[in-house]
Amino acid sequence: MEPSFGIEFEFDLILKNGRRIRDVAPRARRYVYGWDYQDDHTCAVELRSPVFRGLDHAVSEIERQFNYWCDVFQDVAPYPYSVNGRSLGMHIHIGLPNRCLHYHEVDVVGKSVANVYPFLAALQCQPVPSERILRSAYLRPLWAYDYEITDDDHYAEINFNAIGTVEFRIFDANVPQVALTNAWIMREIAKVMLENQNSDVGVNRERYRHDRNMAIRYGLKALNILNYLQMIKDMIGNVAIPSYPFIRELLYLAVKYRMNAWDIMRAVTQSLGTKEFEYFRAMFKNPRDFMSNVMSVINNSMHDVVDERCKQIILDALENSRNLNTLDDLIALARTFAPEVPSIYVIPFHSKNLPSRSYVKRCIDLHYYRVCRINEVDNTPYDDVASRIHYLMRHHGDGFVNVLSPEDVINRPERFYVFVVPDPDNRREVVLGCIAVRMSTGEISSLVVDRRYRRLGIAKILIKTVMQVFDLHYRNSSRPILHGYVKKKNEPMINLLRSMGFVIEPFNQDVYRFRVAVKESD
Amino acid sequence: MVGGKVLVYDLVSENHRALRNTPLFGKVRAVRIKCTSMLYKLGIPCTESVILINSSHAERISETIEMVRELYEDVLHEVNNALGVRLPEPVIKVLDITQDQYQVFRDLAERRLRESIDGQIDRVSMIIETVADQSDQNKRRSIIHSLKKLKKEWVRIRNSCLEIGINLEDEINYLLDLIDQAINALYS
Repeated sequence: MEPSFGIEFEFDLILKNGRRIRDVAPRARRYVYGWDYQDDHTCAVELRSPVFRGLDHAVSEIERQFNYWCDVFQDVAPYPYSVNGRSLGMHIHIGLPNRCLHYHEVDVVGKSVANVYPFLAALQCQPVPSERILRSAYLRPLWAYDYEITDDDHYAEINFNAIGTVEFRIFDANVPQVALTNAWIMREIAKVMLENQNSDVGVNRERYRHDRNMAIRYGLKALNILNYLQMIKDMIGNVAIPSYPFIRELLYLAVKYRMNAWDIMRAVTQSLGTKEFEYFRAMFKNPRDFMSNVMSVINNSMHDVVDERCKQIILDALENSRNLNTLDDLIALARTFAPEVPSIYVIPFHSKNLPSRSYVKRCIDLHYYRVCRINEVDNTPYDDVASRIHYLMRHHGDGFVNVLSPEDVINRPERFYVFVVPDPDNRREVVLGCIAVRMSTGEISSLVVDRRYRRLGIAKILIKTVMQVFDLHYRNSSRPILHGYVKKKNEPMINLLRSMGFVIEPFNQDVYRFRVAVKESD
Repeated sequence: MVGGKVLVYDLVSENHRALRNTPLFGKVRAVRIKCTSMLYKLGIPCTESVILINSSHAERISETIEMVRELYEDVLHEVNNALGVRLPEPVIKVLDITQDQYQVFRDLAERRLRESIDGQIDRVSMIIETVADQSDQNKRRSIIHSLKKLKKEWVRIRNSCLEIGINLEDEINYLLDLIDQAINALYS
């Protein structure tokens, strides 16, 4: 029995004049026989597909549904992209058409797909970085379940769904062509895995975690696509790529240009002004094609304004993607274009687009800041905070701070406190400095402030917090002496410590040791 | 009650229709940039085309204005000869303002400077953060050169601020320290 699949389409609506409708729109839940809708407050409309028995069935059903939908709503188009903080997802279910999957089947399918999940997520990611995957409360990473496929939590990014399918939730909403491409790859994997019933499938945890984080932050550019294609080939063999142009075109774009559908939409609609309405109607009404739809939008435009590079890419994909007949062809393409991947992640996501110094100064003047533990930062996972601390130590530590890896930050016995201010757009908190203290010995082992925000009093606030915490911790017992080390040439820090009443004494040629003054009564 | 002076100007830009796709486009652009930079050196810009100036340098102000006029005269003459188009001459006026007006312009200048300092601190911090990745010696030399130029410019702005009474010395000093750190990091 070949696996079947189903897709949940979440989308907002866009009008002809470019205005987007985000409120739940019950009237737009129009569907043909076999389809269904779901109540969801995070999008204007959520439509559920019937069970697709194969790619041909899926393409014809999507075509039927959205042609009907677009005929009913002449002045509206589905808008599946998560701009301005939206959180539109697309969940793909893999199962069997005649029965529920057994747990061991879910396990083997889920874990096999998990090994190529970052690549699939990057294919569908929009925008980049994907705020939805990074921040959504309705999506939890696999490592939260120790890399097991859970049936307890519907919000796990791969879960054993109550309807007896394995549900893949990481995908951002997108045009149907992208979901179908991913569904084809996942279904092929499921087909082989269910046939073999191999129970030894495991997830490469380290690569999964690293690549997933990179893919959702930087997109396809951050992945070694050749490796992923080879992994897919190892699982499913050198299969023929379906003859639907959209699959070949999307894979061609991903491999040769490291671009996904979002990049193309942005390039085209930015050039054409407000052409998103036409773009999405074309995509949903004709799910068999991708680039031909793009070309039709360009050709229907009054002005020839698409820039030359964009045009070249579109024409190249239209022309040459036809030659991709098997996975081997794709791998050969990836091998040819592998060196083009630029080194792009010098400044990581969490350390880019930081608030201005004046803004932070105002925040401090107004006491609009917090000092908290790493797991208490709003809207930021603790491993992102750990990664930011690692970055601060590495790039702002001025050579004296021990640089700890993000894992060390989480696992070491020191307590880390971070200084955070809300982002000006208020959607997350930004870590601007940190202090680490080992409570058992009283040693302040790290104190770092992003150099953009030094001399604003952040270090003083962090030290004061640690002193208070220390006092509270040892309220009724004898305490070790709070102390630390500072380079002799770090005059601003030495002045600060003196002003706070610390005793500073020589430790060696280059370093002072500082400690709190011990009162007579102590 | 007189509080100070502002200099307002309107210089012909290279975006004039007559200059499009002509070799004089670049020349007019170069003159405009040079003249704007000369005028900016007289004080602190408050908004586009308005500069808060220190009236104690009356001689320097009139000399600079004269030089700008001469530079423009030459280039406009050339444009007239080559294209037969008479572009408008630059308008540069020095206006006396009252104490209240002076206060308003000073606040505007301060706000603009703060934004500029924020931007420069961010830029220089970024240079320090990525210095280890910068292995191209020519690129390093070029960054050092631009940082030295930047430092010189901010020393001048700091002095102008002191003369005009804008209190941003600490912030500018911090920026200058950061520039020094970046230069040292690039040399090492």
